[in-house]
Amino acid sequence: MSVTRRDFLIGSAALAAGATVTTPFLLPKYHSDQRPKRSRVAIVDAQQYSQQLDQILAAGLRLFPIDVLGKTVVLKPNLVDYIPGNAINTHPLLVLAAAESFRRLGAKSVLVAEGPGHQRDTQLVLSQSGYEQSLRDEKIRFVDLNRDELIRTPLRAGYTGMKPLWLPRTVLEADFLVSMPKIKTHHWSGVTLSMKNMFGVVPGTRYGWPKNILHWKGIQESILDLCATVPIHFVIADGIVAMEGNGPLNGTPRPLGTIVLADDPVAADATCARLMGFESGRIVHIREGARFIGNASSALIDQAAETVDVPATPFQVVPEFRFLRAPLKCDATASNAQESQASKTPYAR
Amino acid sequence: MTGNESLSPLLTPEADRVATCPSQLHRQTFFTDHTLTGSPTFFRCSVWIPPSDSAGRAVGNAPFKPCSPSLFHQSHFGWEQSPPTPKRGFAWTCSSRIPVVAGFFDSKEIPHYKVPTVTTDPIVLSDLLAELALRQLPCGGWAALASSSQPAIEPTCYSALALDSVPVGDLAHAQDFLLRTQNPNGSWPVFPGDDQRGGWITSLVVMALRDLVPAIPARLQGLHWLLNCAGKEANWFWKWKFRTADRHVRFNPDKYGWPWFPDTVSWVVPTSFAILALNQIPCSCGGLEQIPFRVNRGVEMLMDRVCPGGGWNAGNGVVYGVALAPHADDTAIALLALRDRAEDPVVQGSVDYLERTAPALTAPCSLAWAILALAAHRRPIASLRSSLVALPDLSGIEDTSTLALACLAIDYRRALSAFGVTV
Repeated sequence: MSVTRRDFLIGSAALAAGATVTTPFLLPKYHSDQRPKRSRVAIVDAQQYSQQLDQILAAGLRLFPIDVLGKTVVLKPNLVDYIPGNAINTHPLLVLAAAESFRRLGAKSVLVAEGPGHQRDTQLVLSQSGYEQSLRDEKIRFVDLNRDELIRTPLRAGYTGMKPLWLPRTVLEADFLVSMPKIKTHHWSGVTLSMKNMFGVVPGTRYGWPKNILHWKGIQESILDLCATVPIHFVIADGIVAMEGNGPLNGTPRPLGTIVLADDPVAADATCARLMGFESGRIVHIREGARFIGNASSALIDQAAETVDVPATPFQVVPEFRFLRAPLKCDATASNAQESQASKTPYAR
Repeated sequence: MTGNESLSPLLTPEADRVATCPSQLHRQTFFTDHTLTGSPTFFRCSVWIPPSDSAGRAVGNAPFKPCSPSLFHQSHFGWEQSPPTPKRGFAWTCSSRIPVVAGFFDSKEIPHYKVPTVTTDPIVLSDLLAELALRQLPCGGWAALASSSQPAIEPTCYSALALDSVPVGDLAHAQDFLLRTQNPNGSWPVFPGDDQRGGWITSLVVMALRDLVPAIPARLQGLHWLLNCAGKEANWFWKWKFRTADRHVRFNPDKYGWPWFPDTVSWVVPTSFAILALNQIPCSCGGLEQIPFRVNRGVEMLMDRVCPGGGWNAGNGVVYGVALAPHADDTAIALLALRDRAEDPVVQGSVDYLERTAPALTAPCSLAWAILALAAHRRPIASLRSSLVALPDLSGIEDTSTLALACLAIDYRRALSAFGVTV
């Protein structure tokens, strides 16, 4: 069979076109692999919000080789809106306990920073949720990330295809960023944990309330781009009273009685998802984040303090996310096997 | 005028009232207000703040720290009592409980003037305006936060509106800053250096430049940009998507307004500001024929997005079948835009919601917006204004937009006029 010059040119053009179309799907969407070799997670028992949280948290933090001596520590709680009776926000007592702990560990300064995504009047949320008085009493500075100075920041991943984002100086210049989510379900993203909590660093003055551009670009994709760009150094997740159902605002309080500490946000979120009775590998940003941000596999996570206790009844979710719920009585091995399989699935939307 | 001149204390009942005012008077830059009768003439006021001892008491006639003199316009103040005999170099002092004691009032070329009834509101207002003026950046704009030096358009607009007709701050410089930062497409960025696609802030700038004749071409460009900007649901494809596949948020995609930024859907606050800006245009001609249509669509959109119990939040009244709670500030801004629909039951219900909610507000931003909206809808606001001026450390508010909004709420009549709202 002879190949004419015409056939050769057509074939080459087709090959080039095919490569052009498929290459973006084959190449990694992240710039660098930031995963630690191993991650550490501690599930700490805490049944209620009280002054005892100081000691509980201090003991939990001693399980980690944390070095914040002379550093600026930024605590990023989840502070969205205030609805009486709803467990929406990270409890202020936990944030105060964290601030006190990091001060004792020698931090140069500890400040609390957040840009609420639903309520534009940040001071109102602070006041209603009990933060304002607590922070004032403890002389802890609060920075409204919705209105902070902004720096044009190239994204270190390309899941959204967004151009550089304008991000707050306070977060970008932090030596040690602590994501402090409320463990909740979320009707758009399944869960809102330490990685989703980073939506709060996106400034409302620039991107609106809610931060609608992130929804249009894809919530899961935006979480990945943000977490690749703004590294989370530590996680303190508030699971003392979590939220299930129609989160992040109108869900039902669900007491978990735990605080999850971790030096890796992917490991933290995978663990929290298991605590909620979810298959972490079915949550896109956790699964994909395990490729380059952190570790989701139990085999790569050193578990300190309590063990992961999968609840008898998984968290309630809106119908679209029922697939997240793990089979009852699943064991860690089965879970890991599924997760491992899921992590091999190419990223798709 | 120097601080070495002897001060003749004058304790009046009004001054006593000042002495019992809230602690923010400790930061008072301007002590009191005088004006001239007749034409709107300015007076000059210099104030000295003496040091205080460890107990916070003023220290006698200790050396005073001079503050920069500033000018105030009479329209800010209302007078009730006849004046004492005026004299040049007149000094006023106050109770020792407040270390803000003395003011010299230059009465050059003034035939006569009155001593005002010193009420808390104008004092707090003058204090806040002075603080606002101090925060103006060399470029003419204001930063979002007091601790920041990055100019931003939103706080600059509110500050320009608050300082309009008040001879403190450099309003002309602020207006020049706004004109310099306009995007080539007629919109405004959130801050200088942002990309040039523009956003919701364009509506606020159009209002902030409303009385400036040289700004007319820029405003027209801004208005044209606003008319060409619409929520993404205005497009047939997204309309179809929201009708068929994406129905978790209850809304009618036929009723669209303005987004925060291009390529996103309509939201309550940007739509409200756009309606306010477009309503300021006296005629819909010269390429602005679309104004009535867009305003009507925007109003319909606001009516559609109302929360079931009245009031608005960002724009999600019902999600997954659950009614979401309204926000006071979003509700107030929407009500300003809907002043012309005051008789509509939806508007009435939302005004009722705001009236019920406002007394419990402890944050100045929401409270200020609530005052403006309730005043626009002719509801009583005296107690709310008292609550606002009594908030602790009002002039120390970190958020400059909130500081300016507090000024606008205290001086609400002029503020409503600036927003084009007639009462």
